[in-house]
Amino acid sequence: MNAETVSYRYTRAELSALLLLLHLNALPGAPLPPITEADYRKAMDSLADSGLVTPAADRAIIDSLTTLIVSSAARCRYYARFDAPDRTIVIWRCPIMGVLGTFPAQGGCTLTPLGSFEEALSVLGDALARCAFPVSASSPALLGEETLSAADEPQLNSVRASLWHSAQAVEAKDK
Amino acid sequence: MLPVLIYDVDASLRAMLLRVLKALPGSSALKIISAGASAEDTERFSGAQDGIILTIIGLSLHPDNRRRGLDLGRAIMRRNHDNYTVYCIHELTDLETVLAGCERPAGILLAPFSPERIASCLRRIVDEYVSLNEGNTDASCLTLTSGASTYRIPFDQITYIEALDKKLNICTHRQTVTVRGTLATLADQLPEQFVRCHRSYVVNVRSIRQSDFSEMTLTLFDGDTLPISRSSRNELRQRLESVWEVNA
Repeated sequence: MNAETVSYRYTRAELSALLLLLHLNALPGAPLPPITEADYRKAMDSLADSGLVTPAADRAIIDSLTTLIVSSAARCRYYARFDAPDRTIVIWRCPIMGVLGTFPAQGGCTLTPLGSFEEALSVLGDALARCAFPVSASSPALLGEETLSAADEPQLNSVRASLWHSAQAVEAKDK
Repeated sequence: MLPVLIYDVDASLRAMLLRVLKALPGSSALKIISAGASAEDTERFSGAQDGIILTIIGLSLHPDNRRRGLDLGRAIMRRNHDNYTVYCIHELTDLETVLAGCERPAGILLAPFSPERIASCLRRIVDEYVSLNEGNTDASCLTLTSGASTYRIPFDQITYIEALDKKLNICTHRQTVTVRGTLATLADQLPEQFVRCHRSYVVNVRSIRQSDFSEMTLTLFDGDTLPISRSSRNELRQRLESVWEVNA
């Protein structure tokens, strides 16, 4: 069997703790509340138990791919955010990859690194297929102040197409 | 044995690496092939090894040496994507240079180097190598490929498998691996600890914390909730009762 994508699962407190550990700002567009000291300590213990960070006082991140995904998303060039009643999905365009983040309403999050922003946009369809409606899309760099809304699947496809065209226009301008 | 090659690290770091390697649990599985040889010799030595190798590459501050180190790492990974490569880097900006090659290094050590950090990084590699070569037989792992890489996920680590359209999400506590396929085709490869709880879900009974047959949900130890379908209810209940009775 061929693995198409590999996603990394964290609690939101763990993701916030990783950002603090890497001295990075919050991920743009990600619904991450500020982390308390107690949550930070709990998250770090959980990350150490999973072997992602060293249990010692220096708390170094062991997994290089985790470091890359989190630090890339934090320094992304632009992002798009989709808000549905049951989850928020964010895609980031990073210098060397695209990252797709899923934040279910009940908590937790999943980050999926993809070869490029275009690939992330195409994989986005699978992620959006699970969303409850209505879905609203916003992307400060791609859509300006505009927020696009979709009440059903055909409207959502049209929102995706609009975002795709905006992304391609920005890509062309970048080149 | 896992051959180990160390390239372009200064004498003090080289001594620290060798000390840590010798003190690691499982160090008997390691064989130091070279430490301090040139890039050309290190590549030649690495090419002469059969199977997987571990190469520790220092990225010095000198641009030419740094380029040679990166080229060496990429050549070794191109030869075999399962090789372990660990980079010792001095500048945070080198992090992206290393990772931009998409070679997925087995570890990155960032200055200032400490024996504890080195040991954490290398212990994980040695544990994985020993486990792959001695412990986890094919019968205890699900084997997946991704490009030129091979993933092996121990069945015990899989919490549940979800079917969505023509794809399967194989979920562990920390990762979700998406593959193309159906639950029916995968079911034959799964050991007895997996049971279908819904048309779209197969769950590892060992990862279930709580079953609720009135709400028709399963709660897993990591907090995930899975649905139970009416058609799966009776079989699932019987399986859980037999497993939990045995463990009681």
